[in-house]
Amino acid sequence: MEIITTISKQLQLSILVFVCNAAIADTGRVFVSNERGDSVSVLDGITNQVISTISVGKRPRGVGISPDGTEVYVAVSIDNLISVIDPIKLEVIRTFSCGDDPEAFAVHPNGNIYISNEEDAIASVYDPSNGKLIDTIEVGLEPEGVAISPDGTKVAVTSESTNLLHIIGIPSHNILHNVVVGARPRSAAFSSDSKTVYVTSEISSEIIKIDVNSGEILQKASLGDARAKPKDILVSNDGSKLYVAGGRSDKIFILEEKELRILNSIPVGKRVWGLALSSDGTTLYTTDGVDHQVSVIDTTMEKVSATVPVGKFPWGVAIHD
Amino acid sequence: MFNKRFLKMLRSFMVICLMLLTTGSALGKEFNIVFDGSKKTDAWLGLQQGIEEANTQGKFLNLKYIIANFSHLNSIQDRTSTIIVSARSARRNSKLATEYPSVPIFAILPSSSAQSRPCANNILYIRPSSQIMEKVTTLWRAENPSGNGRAQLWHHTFKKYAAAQLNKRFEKAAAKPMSDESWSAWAAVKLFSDVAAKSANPSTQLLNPKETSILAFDGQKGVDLNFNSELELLQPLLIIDNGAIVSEISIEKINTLRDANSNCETLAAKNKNEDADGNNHNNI
Repeated sequence: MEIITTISKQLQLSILVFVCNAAIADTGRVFVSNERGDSVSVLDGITNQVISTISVGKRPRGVGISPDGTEVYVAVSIDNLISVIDPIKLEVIRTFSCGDDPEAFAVHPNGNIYISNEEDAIASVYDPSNGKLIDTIEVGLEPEGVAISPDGTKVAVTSESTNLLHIIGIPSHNILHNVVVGARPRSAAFSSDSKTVYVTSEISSEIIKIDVNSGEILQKASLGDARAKPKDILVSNDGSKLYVAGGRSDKIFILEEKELRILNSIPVGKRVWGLALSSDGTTLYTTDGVDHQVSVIDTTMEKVSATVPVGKFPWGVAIHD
Repeated sequence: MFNKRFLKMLRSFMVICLMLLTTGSALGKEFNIVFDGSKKTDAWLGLQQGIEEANTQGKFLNLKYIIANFSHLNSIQDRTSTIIVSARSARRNSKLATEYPSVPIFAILPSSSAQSRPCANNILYIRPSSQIMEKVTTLWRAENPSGNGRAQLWHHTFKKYAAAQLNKRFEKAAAKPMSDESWSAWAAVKLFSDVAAKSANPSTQLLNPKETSILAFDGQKGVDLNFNSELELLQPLLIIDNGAIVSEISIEKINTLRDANSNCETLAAKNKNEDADGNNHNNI
């Protein structure tokens, strides 16, 4: 009976994923949160020009897009809310409270938002359509990075001060594994088959590869650069490479997935933190905080093709494609 | 008939196994943190903050940190899961180090100089000596003649590297700003819990800090903090001028100010007949 229920839930989830994906309205616009500019810069994905700057509240950080592409979400940390932006009209259409100090978040294929609430040491689950709190999950101190597996069955949350990656089941919201990782884990990303999760640890300057089912660390790699304080991490579309924002090293590191060997590094602006990859995998956007700019990288050439000045201290980035 | 009885026995056996497993995992592992110092100090508040945070981590890993009374130290059987956080004099630390050679001792008060420290391989110094602090201050003032800054370990207005969050948590719990002393006690417990999360024998690891990188920990100072050969925690310092942070001094820069001859063996002979205590804190 339990198996049938689980299969049924998985099926519902798959249908949701399909329906949501089918409804994406593609503008190609790039949404960048400016942490100290209290705004979101909107870039045209073709011309790389800023076409709008939207005031969203104090200290905007995480950015995400609804599965159907109709809404852009921005975590506004000091105001303790999520601002919802219409990606076509480019205006804030509503806000909702989302606990203390929201930072990073991920959008589930069913539309729910999983947010790390740094000060409360919890991850919260919200339904953005009505702003209702669905659940809270107790995690370690200073939770930050949130990633949802592509199959929608797991959420990974990093807790910075307790050096843990929590792998949490969906929809049960039970913690399945607590994995001790390097000092100050910042971000996580799943492989496309949802079997592997990759974590960056800022202070230990490590990339850690973890088996999702067992919670075992499969591999670790150091970025080998004293200034490298890795933050965001993304997996290439074919799964063969990892893109890592190197923080104060002012570089993007490209690692091959199997052995976590560094293949290349691309110089970008100062204190690079945020990353977003276009859906076709050919363009990588980075937020270069201290230089107040976004770098646009051609992933085929592995070179910066453009830099775009945005607001003060850009933090998060998401592509509406 | 046999099958039914067998199944019943098997079920009972499995229930017992499950109970044992559950009980075992619920018990987890306990660590004793012995505080040697006054409970009216900032050190005590920092220690409590550290233990609170260690237990926040511990609940996910089935580890528990408890404050053990100093008077009970002799009755603690498992010394491999015990540390002493000492806010006492260097002379007292020296005696403790001899009496409890298998217990790591975190010294959280500053010694006057590296030379004034007792020579023991189980004392870990969380703070640089007062001499180093003075040298850093002098260096900064030489580079900034109009300034009146002083070197400190920590400041309650420090925001970078999630220091703001630690300051906020501490102030909420202790109802006062985090000081050098409270940061030091917090750091000692944080360091220990970080090692305990990664190792089954954290005390053993702490007694061989030069041979392992497992000790590198995040003290909310933006870099991996680790010990040098004299068991002093290397860390960036802050320059505070007029109540505000005006500069951060890197580990590399501070290392250039260290004496080359502060080797323990050399110093042991030199200080043989000298009072090792550089402070006047509760001498024993």
